Amino acid sequence: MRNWPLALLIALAVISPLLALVVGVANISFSDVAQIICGQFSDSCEANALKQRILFELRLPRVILAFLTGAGLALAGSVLQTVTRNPLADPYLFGISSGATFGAVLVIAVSGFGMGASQGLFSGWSQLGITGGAFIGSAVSVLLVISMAGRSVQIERMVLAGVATSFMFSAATSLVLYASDPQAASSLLFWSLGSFTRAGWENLSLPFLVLIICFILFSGFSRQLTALLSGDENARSLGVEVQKIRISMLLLTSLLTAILVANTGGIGFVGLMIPHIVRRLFEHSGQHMMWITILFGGVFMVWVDVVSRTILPGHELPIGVITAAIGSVFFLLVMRRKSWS
Amino acid sequence: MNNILDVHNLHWSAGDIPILSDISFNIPKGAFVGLIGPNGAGKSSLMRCLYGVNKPQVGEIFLHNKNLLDMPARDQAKQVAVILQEHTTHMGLNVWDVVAQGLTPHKGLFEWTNKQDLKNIELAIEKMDLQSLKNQPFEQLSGGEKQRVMLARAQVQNPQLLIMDEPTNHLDVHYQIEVLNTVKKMDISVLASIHDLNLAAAFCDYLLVIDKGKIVDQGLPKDVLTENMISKVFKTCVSVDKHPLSSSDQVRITYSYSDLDALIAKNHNDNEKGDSNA
Repeated sequence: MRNWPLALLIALAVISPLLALVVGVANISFSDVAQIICGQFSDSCEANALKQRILFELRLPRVILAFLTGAGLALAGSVLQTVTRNPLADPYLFGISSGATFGAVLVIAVSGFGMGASQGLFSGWSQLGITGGAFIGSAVSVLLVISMAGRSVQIERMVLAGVATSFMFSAATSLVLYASDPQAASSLLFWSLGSFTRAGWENLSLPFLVLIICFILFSGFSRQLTALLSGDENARSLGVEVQKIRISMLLLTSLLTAILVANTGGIGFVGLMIPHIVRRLFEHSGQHMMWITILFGGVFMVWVDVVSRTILPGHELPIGVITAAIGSVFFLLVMRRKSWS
Repeated sequence: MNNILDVHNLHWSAGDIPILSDISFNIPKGAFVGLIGPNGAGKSSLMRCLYGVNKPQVGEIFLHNKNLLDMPARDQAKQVAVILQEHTTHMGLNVWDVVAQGLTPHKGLFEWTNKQDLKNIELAIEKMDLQSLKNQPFEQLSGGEKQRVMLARAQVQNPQLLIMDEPTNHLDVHYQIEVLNTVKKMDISVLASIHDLNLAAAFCDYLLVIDKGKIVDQGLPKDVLTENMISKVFKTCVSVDKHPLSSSDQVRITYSYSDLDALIAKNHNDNEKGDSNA
């Protein structure tokens, strides 16, 4: 593996969040950010105190949530592509994201959690309720997909079952949106398309914790995952309990996806796209692949968030719209390359 | 006799369809045992039973007097390495990564590659003359190079028994001989299914003949590779003599259909006579 792309990625992972902190309606310069972070910023005047509050209470948690979401979805996609040996696998393909979105939307619509204007309402129990709904939705998807995959857990059947499950939950989400009152439906629609607007310090700890736990577990199983890349029979001959590992990894990725979806809504294509780009740019990086994927996904999402905040003056585009626009073109390019190769 | 593998009365069915029945044989320590038989005879199914993919309904497989069927997958893989017939795509893995897969059964969770492991990987790569290829994607290698990579992986896996399913498939004559010579030099017990009867005669210490899911003959190549056995099992007319340049037997195939028709008629008559005598 060449070293310069790795050095560039690490530099970007440090610089991108700092640059993203500068972007926003309120005029906060890079030197302001540097001074605030270093603790040398004077908050004696009202304007400075406001800048400090905007930075710490709005922009910093938002940038961190964007980074965690990108990192987590990319990691989930990478592991799914490995365990299914399907280069087009991502949390959407197996219905995990759709199940999680439906679960979260249903909880919000029924309970009214997260619909309040203030940030405070979207914390504590309400956040836990949405997360629980998302996880139950994604777990139901995974169990449906696994139960349809047959006794030998055939990948082709899993993919077909995943696509069907994904459509089923998308339809159910649309039904909930249709049945909700117009104001709630508009709010739910924006949320279901992906957004970091509700980012706050109180909803960073769970995604961070789950991402770290998943990363540690995936790293622990990295040999088994690499063996799966060589096919089920090869992996079995290397001592890997193929079905157990595949199902455990699916459940872990569904947990990770559910936690992220509960906080950000549905953001597609990141899990599909980033592992591909990483494999192409960082060929044969073997055991380093996982943390490279995390960094790349994080950096990518930080910049997607910057674009969503700046592309239309005075408006914010849903994150999922931007990732889907980039991802669908990417998807077609991958297909085209495959058909010609 | 000091056997590495003892198989007793093995039966395996795929669903309701019986594929293997009453299979019994053993592999002496250090022997290169060839498994021969026509297409669909059950060679791959039998091998899959030995490395845990197929679960036999009846029978026992003892490896060094321990029942292989009771061992967890990881313990099995510490004892038995496998080189499959078809090399699936390895999703971007390079030669070094594939060779390093040999460590999989020997390492627990969070047990990283240490200096000794790295040394073993490099040694296996060097032994198989793969130094110049170690950063190449596995998919880009030729058939012979892929087989050498898999042999290097097996070396890192350090098993008691190496199972090879059609190791010379898709290889030209040069690579067929190179691969089998390399295996011989590894000084390890081997069970390999081989289609080419002349290669089996030249390289194997013992042969097992499987037909319709049963072992129909076994022994030294000179005793097993007879015109009678080959005509019965492979439905092919052959003559067997000594190779002029080596001591091994040489199977010459008759490619005429009229000879084959005559053979089938002869076998049919022989069977009828046998039935009437009985």
